Amino acid sequence: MEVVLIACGSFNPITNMHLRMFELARDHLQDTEKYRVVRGIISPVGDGYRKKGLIEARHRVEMARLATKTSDWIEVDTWESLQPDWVETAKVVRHHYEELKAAQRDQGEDGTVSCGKKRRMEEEHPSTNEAQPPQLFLLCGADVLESFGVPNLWKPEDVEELAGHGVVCITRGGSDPEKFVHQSDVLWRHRRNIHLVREWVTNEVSATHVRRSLRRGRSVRYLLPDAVVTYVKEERLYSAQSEQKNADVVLAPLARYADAGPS
Amino acid sequence: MTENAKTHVILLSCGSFNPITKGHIHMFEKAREYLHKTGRFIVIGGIISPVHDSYGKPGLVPSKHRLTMCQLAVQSSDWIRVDPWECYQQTWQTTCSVLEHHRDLMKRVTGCILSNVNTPSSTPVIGQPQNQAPPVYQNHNNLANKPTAVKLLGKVSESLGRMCCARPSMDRFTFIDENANLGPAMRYEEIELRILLLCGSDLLESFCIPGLWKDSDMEVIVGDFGIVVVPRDGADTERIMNHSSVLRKHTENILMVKDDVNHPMSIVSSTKSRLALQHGDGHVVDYLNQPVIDYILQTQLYITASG
Repeated sequence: MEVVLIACGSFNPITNMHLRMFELARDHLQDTEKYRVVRGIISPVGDGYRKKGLIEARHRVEMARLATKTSDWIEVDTWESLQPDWVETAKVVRHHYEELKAAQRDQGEDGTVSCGKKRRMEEEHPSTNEAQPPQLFLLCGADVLESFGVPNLWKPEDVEELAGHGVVCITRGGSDPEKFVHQSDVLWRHRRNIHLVREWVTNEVSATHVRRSLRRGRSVRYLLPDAVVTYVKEERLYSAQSEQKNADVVLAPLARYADAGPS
Repeated sequence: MTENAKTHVILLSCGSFNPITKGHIHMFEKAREYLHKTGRFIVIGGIISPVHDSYGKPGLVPSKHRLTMCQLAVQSSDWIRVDPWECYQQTWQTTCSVLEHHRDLMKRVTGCILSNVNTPSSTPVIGQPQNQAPPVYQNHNNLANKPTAVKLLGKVSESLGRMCCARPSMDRFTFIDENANLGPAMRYEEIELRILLLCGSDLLESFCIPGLWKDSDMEVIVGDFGIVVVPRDGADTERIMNHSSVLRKHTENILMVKDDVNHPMSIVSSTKSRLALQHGDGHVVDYLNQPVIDYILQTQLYITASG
C-alpha cells in the first residue's frame, strides 16, 4: 500500500530533527512490508497562526525548500502557508487527501498508457491498487495522539476522520503511547492505522533553542542543514526583534476566548 | 497587558453533580466573566468532573447517569466539557489528585491543542476563531501584583487590592522556554496555562471544618493551583477567609467572584432539585435545564426518596 506522510508545524526554522522524523517514519513503515512510502510533505503553518516569534511564511517555506533540496521524496507544500487565515491541521489533511484522490483519478484516465503497459505495471507492482489513492498519514508527536483520547476534547467525527486516515507518531522516552491507544475506545478502534515509532536516539534539537542561539550570535551549524544556516545568515533572520513578533496579539486558536475578554 | 502575558486559565469543577443544575452552569459563566474583567486572564476552557460512585454520598445516582446529564447540560456550550476520568478510576479520587491529573494531561497535550490539530468539538477546551484576524489589543500597564500590596492597602481598597493581587505569583518561572513544565503551571512557548479549581463558597467553607481536608492537600489546592470562588446563598466569604490559616496564607491565589447576592441562581442546589423532583414541584424548571429534566423523567431517577 502506498503512503504519503504529512507533517504540519511552524518550522520556525526547520531543523535536522524535523527531517529525521520523516526518515524514521519511512523506515518503520517500510519495515512492516505492508507500506511503501512514496512522498513526504512538509506543510509550514501560515502567518495567520500568530505565534510569537513566527517569522514570515515565505522565509520558512524557503528554508524548508533548501532543507529538502537533496531529498528525493520529501517536499514542501505551500497551500497552508498561503491561506489568509490560520487553518487547523484536520483541514490541511483533508485538503491534501482531496488532492491525492484527484491526482489518482487523473492518472487512471490517462489514455496514453497502453493496456499492455498497464498490465506489466500491475505485474511488477501487484500491491499497487490503481483504484485507491495512496494513504495519507499525519506525522506527529505523542501529544497529538494522547489528545485524541481525551474525552470530549475534539469532535468525535473529526477524531474518526484523522485516525481513519492514519497517524505516525514519533515518540521518545517518557511517554507511553501504547497506553493511550489501549485506554481510548476511539484510538483502539483505529489501532491498525496508528503507527508508533520509538526514537531510540533522542534528538533534542528544538526550533526554540535554535532561535535563541541565533539571537545570541552562536553557531547553529549541524543543527540545521548547511543551506539553511547560510540562508538565515544572509537574510538576517531571527533577532531579538523578530522574536517579539505577535507579542501583542492572541494566538489564533485562542482568539475567540480573548474576544470574550474585557472591553 | 499584552494578550500573551495574560494567564490562560482552565476552570475545573469537582462535585457530585447529582444532578447538574443551572446554578452550576451559572457558576462557570460568572467566573469566566469575572476573570476576563480583571484583564489578567483568558479563560480558555471549563471542565466538569463528576465524582466517583464510591464517594458514598447517600442518593448519589450511578456515574453513567450523572455524566450523561452533565453532557446534556453543556451540549450547547462552546467552552465547557465533561470529563469522566474520575468516574472511570477504580475508586474515589481526592480533589488534589484530580487537579494534578488534569494539569499533567494538559502539560502533555497543550502544544498540540494550541496548534489545533483538529476542528474543535462543540464542547472544546480550545476553540476555533470565527472571525477575521483579531485587532491588536492595547498594551495596558502592568499593575503591581506583589501579595504584600493587599496588606498595605486600607480596608476601603481591600477588594480592589484583591483584584490587583488576583494573579498567582509569577516567580515560579525561571526561564522562558518551549513547553517548560515547571511546577503547577504549564507553559507553551510564551503562553502560561493554569488550572484553577472552581467552586461555590460552600466548598471554601468546608476548608474550615477540622479534619475534613488534609493540610497538605489544601496547601496544594490553594497554594499551587489556586481557586475561583462563586459565593452562593449569602455566604460571608470574609469570615470564611479569616477562619482558615491556609486561606489567609494564600489570599493572592483565591479569586472571589463578585456576583449579585440576590441573583436567583445563588439559591439553586442539587438537593433542592432532587426534592422538587420527588414532590413533583414545578419549580424544578428553574433549577435544571430542560434536556436534563427530560432525561430524569425518562430514566425515573430521583423520583423515589433515597438517602
